[in-house]
Amino acid sequence: MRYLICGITAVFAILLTIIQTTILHGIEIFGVIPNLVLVAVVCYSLLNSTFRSILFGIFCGVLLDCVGGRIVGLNTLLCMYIAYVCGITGEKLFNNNVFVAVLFVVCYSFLFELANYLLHFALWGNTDVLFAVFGRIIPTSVYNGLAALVLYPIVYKLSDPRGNAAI
Amino acid sequence: MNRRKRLTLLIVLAITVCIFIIMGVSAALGQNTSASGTNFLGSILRPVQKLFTNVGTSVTDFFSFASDMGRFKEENETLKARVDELEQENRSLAALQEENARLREWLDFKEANPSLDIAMGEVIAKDPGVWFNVFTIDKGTNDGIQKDDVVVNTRGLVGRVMDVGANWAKVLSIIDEDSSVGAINSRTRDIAIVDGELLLGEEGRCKLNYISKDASLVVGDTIETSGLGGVYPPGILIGTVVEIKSDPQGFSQYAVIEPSVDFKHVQEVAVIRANTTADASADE
Repeated sequence: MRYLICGITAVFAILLTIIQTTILHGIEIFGVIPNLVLVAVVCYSLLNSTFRSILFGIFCGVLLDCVGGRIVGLNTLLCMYIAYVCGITGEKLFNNNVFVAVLFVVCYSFLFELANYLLHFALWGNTDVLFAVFGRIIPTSVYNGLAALVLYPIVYKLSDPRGNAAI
Repeated sequence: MNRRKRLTLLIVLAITVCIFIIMGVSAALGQNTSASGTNFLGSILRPVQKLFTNVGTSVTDFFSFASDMGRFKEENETLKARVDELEQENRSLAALQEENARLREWLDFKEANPSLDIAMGEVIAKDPGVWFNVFTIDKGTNDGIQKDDVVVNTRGLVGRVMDVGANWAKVLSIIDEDSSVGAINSRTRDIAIVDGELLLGEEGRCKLNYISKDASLVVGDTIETSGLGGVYPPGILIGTVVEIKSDPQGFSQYAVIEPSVDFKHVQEVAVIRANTTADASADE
């Protein structure tokens, strides 16, 4: 049963990646699309043990690195860190409320996209900080928060309630 | 009985005589009498006839309608199915027409560039994030594509292959921040560099940098690849100048380029295989 759930979770992540790189580009709002994979990582980390969260984060990060990104492995690292930090903070602050999950998603999306901007652009002399923050980072974070409303219940079904997990 | 027989015979004879008289009189006076009689009778009878005819027709119609009902239903269904079929056919024809127009453009493109060895590809995915203008196409090393091969479509330059697998290739479009293309003004032959930029990329535009001081550049100038740098072959259309600006320090000017390719709707692309561009003029 446990392997089955792991398999379904993996297929779910792959499905999100495919959706994100294909049909999601058809529903861009203000030129941005939600990062469904990141939303799934945050939601999953809030609902599972830190160890499982990290594994899921790494798996999703590898997927993102496979389909895009410039610096190989950066998405894996970022997703893993987010899964880790989110797992720890979630343990203390999360109370199975979907709106709290949305808040977490918005905050971590902001950090994720900010890290992307800093490492890919700002570090190399780009100065469009205002555009990056107001045109990319904040809209994506908000969009991710909306996506979390849909994804959280699905991830909840795939999760092991905290404390009952074997690992 | 005899009495009755006789009476009957009498009536027959009387009527015969009467008719003979009428016939004789009418023959003597011409047909007018008979005609007017018929006319008179007809005038009285016609409305009644008409009424009966109408009622009869209605009754007949009603019964034939009732009997036709089943047939109508069947026919209606057949016709509806036919309409669906025709609508479907119409849609597919419209799609074919559009495809035909696209393919014709490609044919023209191939005819205009017979020396280029190209591989046709279709965009299958875009970047998962919001920062890069990179997309994936369905052709890779199996089709002879290599890293740095140039990607175009019928409108002009799309970008170059930045990463390639067996059956996929990632294409870095010219509006991406990391892209840099040696360019030349078609009118004045002044050279410059077309760079992608985060902010302009948002609008699907790019920037013309390193314009020499004595270059004459006006809005509307066409920019094409210069062939310098060795990656892009010369003469591929990049876009047109839509705005000329000075950088914040005021030392140099740059231009905003509207690429001829609509990057929001890139569907089909052609990858120019490296062997045809190997003779590009110089190294970067």
